[in-house]
Amino acid sequence: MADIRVTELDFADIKQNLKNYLKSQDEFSDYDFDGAGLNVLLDVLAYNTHYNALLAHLQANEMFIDTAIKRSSVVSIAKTLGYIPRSSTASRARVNLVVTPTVDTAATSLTLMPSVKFTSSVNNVNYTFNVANEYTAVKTNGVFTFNNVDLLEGNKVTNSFIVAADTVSGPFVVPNAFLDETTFSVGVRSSTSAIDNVTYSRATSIIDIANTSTAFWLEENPDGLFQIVFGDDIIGKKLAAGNVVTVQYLACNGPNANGANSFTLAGTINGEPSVDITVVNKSASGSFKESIDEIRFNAPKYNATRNRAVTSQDYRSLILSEFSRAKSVAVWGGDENDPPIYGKVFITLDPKDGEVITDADKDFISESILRPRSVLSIQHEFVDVDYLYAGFEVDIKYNPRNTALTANEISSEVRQGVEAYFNTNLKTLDKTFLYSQFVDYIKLLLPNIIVGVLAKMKLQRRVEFVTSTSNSKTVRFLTSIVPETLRSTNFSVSVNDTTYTAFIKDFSNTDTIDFTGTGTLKLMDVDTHNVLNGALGTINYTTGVVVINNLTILSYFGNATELRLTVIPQELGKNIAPSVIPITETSLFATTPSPSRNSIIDLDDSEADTTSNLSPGLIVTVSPYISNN
Amino acid sequence: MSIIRPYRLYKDIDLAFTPHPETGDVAKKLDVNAVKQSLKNLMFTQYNERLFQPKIGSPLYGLLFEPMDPITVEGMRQTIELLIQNYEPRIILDQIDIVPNYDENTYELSIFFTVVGIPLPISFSTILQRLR
Repeated sequence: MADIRVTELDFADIKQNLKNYLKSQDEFSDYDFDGAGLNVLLDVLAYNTHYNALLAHLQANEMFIDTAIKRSSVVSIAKTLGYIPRSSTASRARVNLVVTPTVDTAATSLTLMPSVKFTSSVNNVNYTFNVANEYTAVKTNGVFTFNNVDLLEGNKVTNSFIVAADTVSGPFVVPNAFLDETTFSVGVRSSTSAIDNVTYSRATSIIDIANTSTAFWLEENPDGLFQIVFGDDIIGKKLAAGNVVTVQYLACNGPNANGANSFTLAGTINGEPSVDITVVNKSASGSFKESIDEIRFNAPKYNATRNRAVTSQDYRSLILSEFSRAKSVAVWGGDENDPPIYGKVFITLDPKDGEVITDADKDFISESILRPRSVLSIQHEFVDVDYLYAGFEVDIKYNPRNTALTANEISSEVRQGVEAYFNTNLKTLDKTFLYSQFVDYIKLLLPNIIVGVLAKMKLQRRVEFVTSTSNSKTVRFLTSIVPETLRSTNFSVSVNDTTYTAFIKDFSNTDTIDFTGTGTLKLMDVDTHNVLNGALGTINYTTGVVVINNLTILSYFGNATELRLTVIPQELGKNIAPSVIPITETSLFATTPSPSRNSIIDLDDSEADTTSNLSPGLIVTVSPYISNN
Repeated sequence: MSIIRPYRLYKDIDLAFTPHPETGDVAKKLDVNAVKQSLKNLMFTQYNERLFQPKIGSPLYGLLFEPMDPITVEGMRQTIELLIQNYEPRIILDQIDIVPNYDENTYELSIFFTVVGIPLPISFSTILQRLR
């Protein structure tokens, strides 16, 4: 008797296995003819097997977080890892309000209640913004001034549930998919007619929860809605039949309301209609609830932290899981700085597109997310993102016999490909640029058509100098630099009371160019190329560290608002990792330590600008090449 | 009258699932009858009817709803020829007669063939009529 193989999932393979089995008997012989009755029976058998195999396969897939497709499965697995997916978050704006009293002119103080609403419009859609907290202002110079008032987008919703005898611990499903969990509050009354209201607080674990604790847990149910669960009189207080649970929250529109920068008061502030509104921060940071892919990424990492912030990975996971506005996070110990600083953890946040991470956000991350979980005495310090721009002159040789594309079309294809490469592989923290991978990528954009790629690379840092002020800056290119290739954009500078258009250039300190040596930065006159300042700073060709001392820029040219320094990396330095290797732990003089991992490698998007001596960031030249062999 | 000798070349089950009067097993179709059953199955199976095998079958059902004219008749003939050529290698086709009966709105179909390994002329006749 033939063996029946059970590994196949496809209908055709299963049917073939059945035919192979029938070949070993002589009772029936027509199974291999498509019109035969036996063939129809084989269809039924094979379909049934295929159906069961597929079902088993799907079930197995849904059991693991890496392969689960349904949100309910991913959420359920995440729940066993102690991870609750984030809800939608309301867009948040910050305004200053000046209220001129016209009704109660004798009042000396005014309270801004959370019930006050403002309206705004984004993309011609109106949104309601609510005052986030209660604010009080004292009358000064005849007006009430409220500074830094936080506004949250959304509509306030209240739902009530009457507790039945079989649901004394819940769950109570909140029937709104767009709730913002950070605005969620729960109160419990003893009966429908009672006026007592006990506020329950949200618990995320069972630590410090006694049998009398008025706590509730919030979790996502299989339908994608949030539900609240109460205790069982062992962990957390149980409700009683007839109790009334009232929940209040903001139902928000997530990121749709981001970008509102003009607000109108809807109604009055405690009866006062006259208010002058100044926007401090336009609305930002609204987001939809955590996606399946985000949960898949965050849940295991969150679980690995065991709710403690010890390793850099712990920090990253905790921040990403509880702070929705960061696209990526880089965390490193101060021992990686140059020179090292012990006892500190450095954090760089790369905000999502269109987002702004404010000081209040950093305080929230530090005090609410990290402090309760981090090791004692460790300090957290935030470092701004520093962009390193890579520009290219790409020379493409293509075989015209293998394509109908024109040189311009190939150029456009390559240009889009390079942009896509940076969007996909770089542009976030902790990503390394690998030169050979980049060249291979370009070559494979049009296989058989592109036969040769030469990518000349340059690196650019953009440094903001406050104009008309003496500035000293240290700029790090994170890689070794070809001597005498540093150029800056043009700027206006005053030397001995004469105004010049100048630029910065480096000169090697040795007569023979030394690729491991140092150089001197000089300030040059654009018109005459005379040296205006022969000791503007230093450059180290091995480490790529450029130091500019006491430079006073009067103004920039064109639309420029910053000084752009461009260098060419050495051949061995074309792979760029966004980290600074500490060279020494001791220093003879006071230095400002440089953070090591706050750089993001981005594509140089510069456009040609002759007034400021700026060349395009990406140049693609395409020429035909036909081999004679 | 010639009697077809049971060659036992082809053995299939009877799709009518008629039980054997003695054993109660499903009855068998043998040789020419097996081939005839197969031909009938193929002709009356529509495209996309068989799971995962959308091309097995014929568009005969559809052609019954076309205007009753020589073009449709020719279409039917070619359909059956192609069907036998593709899916029934046991049949050596001799002739297909399709006679439209305009009064009854039916086609009288006769297929004359021999079966590989059985040197006897076989005919298969049926009436094609649309039911709705």
